[in-house]
Amino acid sequence: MLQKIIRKKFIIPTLIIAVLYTLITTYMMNVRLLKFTLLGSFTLEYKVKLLIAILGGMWTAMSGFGLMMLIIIALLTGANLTLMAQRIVKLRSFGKLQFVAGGSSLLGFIGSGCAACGLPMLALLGLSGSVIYLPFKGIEISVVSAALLLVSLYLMIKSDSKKEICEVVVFDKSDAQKLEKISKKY
Amino acid sequence: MENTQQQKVIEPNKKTGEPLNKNLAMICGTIILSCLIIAGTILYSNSKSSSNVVINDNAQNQQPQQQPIGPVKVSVDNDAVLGDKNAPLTMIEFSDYECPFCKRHFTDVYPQIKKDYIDTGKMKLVYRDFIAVPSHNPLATFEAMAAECAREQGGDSAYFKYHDEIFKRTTSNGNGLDASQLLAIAKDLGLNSTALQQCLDSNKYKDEVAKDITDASKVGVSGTPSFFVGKSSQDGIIDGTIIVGAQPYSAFKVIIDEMLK
Repeated sequence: MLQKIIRKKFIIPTLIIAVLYTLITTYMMNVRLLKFTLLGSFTLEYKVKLLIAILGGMWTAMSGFGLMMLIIIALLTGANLTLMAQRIVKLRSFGKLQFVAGGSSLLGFIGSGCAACGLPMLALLGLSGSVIYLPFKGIEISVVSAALLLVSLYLMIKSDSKKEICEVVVFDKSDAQKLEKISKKY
Repeated sequence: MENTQQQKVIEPNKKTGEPLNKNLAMICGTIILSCLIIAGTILYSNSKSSSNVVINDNAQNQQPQQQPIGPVKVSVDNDAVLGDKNAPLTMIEFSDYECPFCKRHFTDVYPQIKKDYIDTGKMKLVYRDFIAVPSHNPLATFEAMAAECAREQGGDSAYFKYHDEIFKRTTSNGNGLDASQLLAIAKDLGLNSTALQQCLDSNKYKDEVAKDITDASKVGVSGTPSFFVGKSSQDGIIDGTIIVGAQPYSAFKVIIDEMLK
């Protein structure tokens, strides 16, 4: 199973997606400011400076546990999406794909970061208001989504590890006799 | 027949030695797919982001506000002002005394903003209440009212001294300061604690706190701390650019410096 994970073509896209996920989640908190700044007539220097400065909010505007969950969910989302894409390529003809990753990464988006401190993502699915009533202010959602992603990842790796060929079973004489006895019974 | 079957069976094994360009295509495909999912989620959430994130006694009856892009008109109202009243810039802070991130902002960023921009007359700070999380009450509202009561006795200066003490002493998350601790702050600051107790008991500033929350909801504040920075105006209404969360000092500095140009 580890062989499936420790591969360049798995690790690189996973890390790229995880970084993208983390950046976007951090920037989502100030999506109004960033939209206005990036689309406005400001200098490129100002835009870059602001993007870098807001990125610092990852450490200051989130709790330690929230940040840890964000990184875990980002990595798991990256791993799931990578495997999913690889399966799409490999199993195109099978027509049956697992979409657990889609749903749980969405939950990860919602629950990561500071739930009560204005992530616009919380507006998604109408969960925003109710999250602040949860005992841990939405951290629960992060934990659940991480668990779902982990299960999804495990299932995908497990099913990927199955042999992709139909094995030819060779019967010897005694096997054939046993089979005949069984078939006679029914 | 057997040969054909065997050929079909063996075919996938040949794929194990995948060419480099196929791996590259797979990596690129994965990245593009994830970008599409992420971008789609963002676009979808933005189109839905008009729903109010905060639910509390005062804000829940508000109609969902469309969150505007860019500066919004925010009033300083009749709230406490720190710094030169004629400063070219105004920062309106919507904060909650029981919010741990507001306390973090107070501890880590506020002193530097005060030193560099407020004390130098470049910017004034207006503190407004926004109690975002129901579990922060009743203490958060009591603390907000107590600060207003302190202001009644000693003006804006007393308000901000009281404000500083609340943030220094509170343990946040709704476990903060009870009535006796609020009176102790008043005593320590040389205020009349009996008068403050009477002021608190009268609930005279409850509506003021509620009005701040309503105003914040109207301008799209969805959590604390949230800040609006804009050029000062005569009528006390600024075109404020919103900054959400306990952002580092560098984020405030970049925005304020750009506005001061």
